[in-house]
Amino acid sequence: MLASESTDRIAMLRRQVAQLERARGRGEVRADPEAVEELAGVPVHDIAPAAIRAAPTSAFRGGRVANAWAGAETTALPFGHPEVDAATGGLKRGALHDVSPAGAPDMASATGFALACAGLLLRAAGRDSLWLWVRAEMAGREAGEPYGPGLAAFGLDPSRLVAVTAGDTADVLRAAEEGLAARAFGAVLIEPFGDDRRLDLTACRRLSLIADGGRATGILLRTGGIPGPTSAVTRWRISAAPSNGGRQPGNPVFAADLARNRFGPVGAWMMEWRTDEQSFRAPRARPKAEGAGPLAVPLSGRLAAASGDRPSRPPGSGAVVPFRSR
Amino acid sequence: MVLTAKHRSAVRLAHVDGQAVRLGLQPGLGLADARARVPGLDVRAADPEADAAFLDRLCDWAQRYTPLAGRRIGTSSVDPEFPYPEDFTLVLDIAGCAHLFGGEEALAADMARRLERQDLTVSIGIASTIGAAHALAAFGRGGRLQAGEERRALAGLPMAALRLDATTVDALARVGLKRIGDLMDGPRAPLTARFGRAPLIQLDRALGLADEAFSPRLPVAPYCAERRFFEPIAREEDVRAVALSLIGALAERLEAAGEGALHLRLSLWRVDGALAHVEAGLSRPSREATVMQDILCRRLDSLAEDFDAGYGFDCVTVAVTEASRRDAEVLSLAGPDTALELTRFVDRVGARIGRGRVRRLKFYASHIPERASRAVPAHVAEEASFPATDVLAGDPPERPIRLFAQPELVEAMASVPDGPPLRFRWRRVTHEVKRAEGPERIAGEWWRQEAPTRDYFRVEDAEGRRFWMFREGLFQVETNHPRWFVHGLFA
Repeated sequence: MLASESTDRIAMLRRQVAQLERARGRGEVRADPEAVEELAGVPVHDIAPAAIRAAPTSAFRGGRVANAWAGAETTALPFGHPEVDAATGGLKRGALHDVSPAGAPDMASATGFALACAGLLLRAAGRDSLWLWVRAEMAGREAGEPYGPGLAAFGLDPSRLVAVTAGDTADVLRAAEEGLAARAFGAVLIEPFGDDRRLDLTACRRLSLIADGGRATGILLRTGGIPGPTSAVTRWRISAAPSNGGRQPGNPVFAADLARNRFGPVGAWMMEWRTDEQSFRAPRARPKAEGAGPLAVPLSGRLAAASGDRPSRPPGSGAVVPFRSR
Repeated sequence: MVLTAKHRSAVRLAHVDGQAVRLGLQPGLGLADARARVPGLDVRAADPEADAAFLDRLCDWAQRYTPLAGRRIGTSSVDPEFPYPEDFTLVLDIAGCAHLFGGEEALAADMARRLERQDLTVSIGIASTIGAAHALAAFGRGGRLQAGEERRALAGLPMAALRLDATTVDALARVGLKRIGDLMDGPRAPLTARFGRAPLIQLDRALGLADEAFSPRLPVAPYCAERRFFEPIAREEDVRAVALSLIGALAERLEAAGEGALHLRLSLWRVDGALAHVEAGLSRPSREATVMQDILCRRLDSLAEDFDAGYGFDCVTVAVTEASRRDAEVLSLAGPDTALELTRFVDRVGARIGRGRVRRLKFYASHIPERASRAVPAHVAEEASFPATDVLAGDPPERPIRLFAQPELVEAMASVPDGPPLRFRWRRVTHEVKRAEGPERIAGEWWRQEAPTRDYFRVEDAEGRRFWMFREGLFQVETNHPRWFVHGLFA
């Protein structure tokens, strides 16, 4: 652990770096000489590697940023959840994000959160954008294979998915690197399985660098593994949270713990994914589930409308009262 | 030494070596008889599959002489009752290739030398018909026949050399027709009436009066480039460099023909006779040398662990085994071409980890959940969209994002006859169900086999984990003890 004063210093440096990044996004650079000197004075091992990388080199030269694309590259997409957006500035594109479940049974929730992030990215990239899901064979066996109709219901286009099944972590990383470099994919989900020594900081940094250079966004989904070192810009630990559905399961709600954030504070929030709006939001106060125990709530929505010649819900007829068997 | 094979519950000799022949043993003899004649017999079991595999390898190896190398040359003089010894013949069509080796005799000598170095006994016959060459190699003394010499050369050989089945040979022998020459000048009609058409057809084929088709084992590559070395090369970098230069040569030829490669094969002939193939496929015709090099090298990389150069390779070929028309393209300046980028990605990753592992999801019209979506290899999949789901505002997803290939059996407590689960135990963890929705009843497809009806429930446990579960079988209609399964996971 770092001493508290060095933690403070790093926090200060992060702020400076974030300032520089923002300036770079606007195309103007105001290199704060104090900050630069401050950074130069810190022993290297005291600075998080992220802090070194985040400082744009051109800022140190004090000149204008040469890369005209810099602004477009670093755009961030709003999550739709005000507090999360305030803390993170949105989901950063052209970067690597790290999503892991809080415990083994939360792997579906972690998958859901990663897919929701992919959904945000794909919505921004356009409906026709391809997306890639590279996963270890074992992950598919343990947590289930991607299911087309389910992905469609979640708001993603399964016909635009390229799914790669790799035998081991080395192949997962190889395919992921190709995918990030390919410039064909709006989002790249990388799902290795288990605690593998090959998924070390170096491998992670390679992915980050490729994502950075190729304008692709990677989401590292660590199903069923102990979260290892990461160089991702954000790291999320996701656990499941009860939904707001009343007596039937509602829209997915995640208890998201932002354990690492290169651009701002960390924190923990409840986030609800709205499949119809393709956006997160803060879950509303949960209506109490009446009665004890899960009594059969009949099907809602589309599935109940079995007849082909009628709309799934009568227009303007008010609430549909479910038929109760008891 | 003898090799045995079991036939009709009797163990018989399948192959015998030279020494055994001198002791009077021959294929077809019962093992007990053979043991009685030669007490100290070395007996091993024959392995026809291994023999066939070896012959296939040898046949591929022989491609260093000609692309037209095949096995199976039709009927051979084997007894259908006891199909041993099998046909150990390879056929090479060396027309147009011999001059590369300094003539037909030089080619045969080179081949014999290389095969003998591998401890193989070979007999090589060269003739203008397959029948004559086979007869010469298998029953004569080998060597080379000029066109027109067949008649004289074959006349003295036994009837079996015509590749007739054993019963026909026996029947011919019984009437005194033992040598091929006996057939040549006889009256044809009575022979055909008595022994069928086979003897005369085979004779005509051997003499070049009738055509005989022959199919090479591997399809002939439309484009092929090859390089031979006096000193074998062993280092991987060298192999790579050679492959690259060969691909460069192929690319030019493809360009000239207006075609693109779909499948590439790199063949490496090792000095000691082993042959290694490295194959790679492309999902769209390509003739850019860089792309082809890239794919082949990735494939080579992935084989690097079991890449055994041994004493080195003395011949390297790169063949385009599948090509198709490809017209020149207009370069787009608008930005990256997603479709092109995708095919490149599919090829690269496919070459590295296997083409079948890069897949696209395809919708299949079925109400059985696991059949509704299937993964097909990306290089054969055509784009087909899933039917649009009309999501109602605020409605949660009805289908899980992840589906288990095999539904997982759980212990569940549920109210009968068709209540949702109240509590269940999945992967050794007990889940208390707090919310449930269902049942969504999905019956099996009656036009397939009878499958029990499934009642699907979306359930959420106390921690907020959401599952897609079903009860298999209708209570007291299909089963009295319905089983519960977890089929998928919701986000």
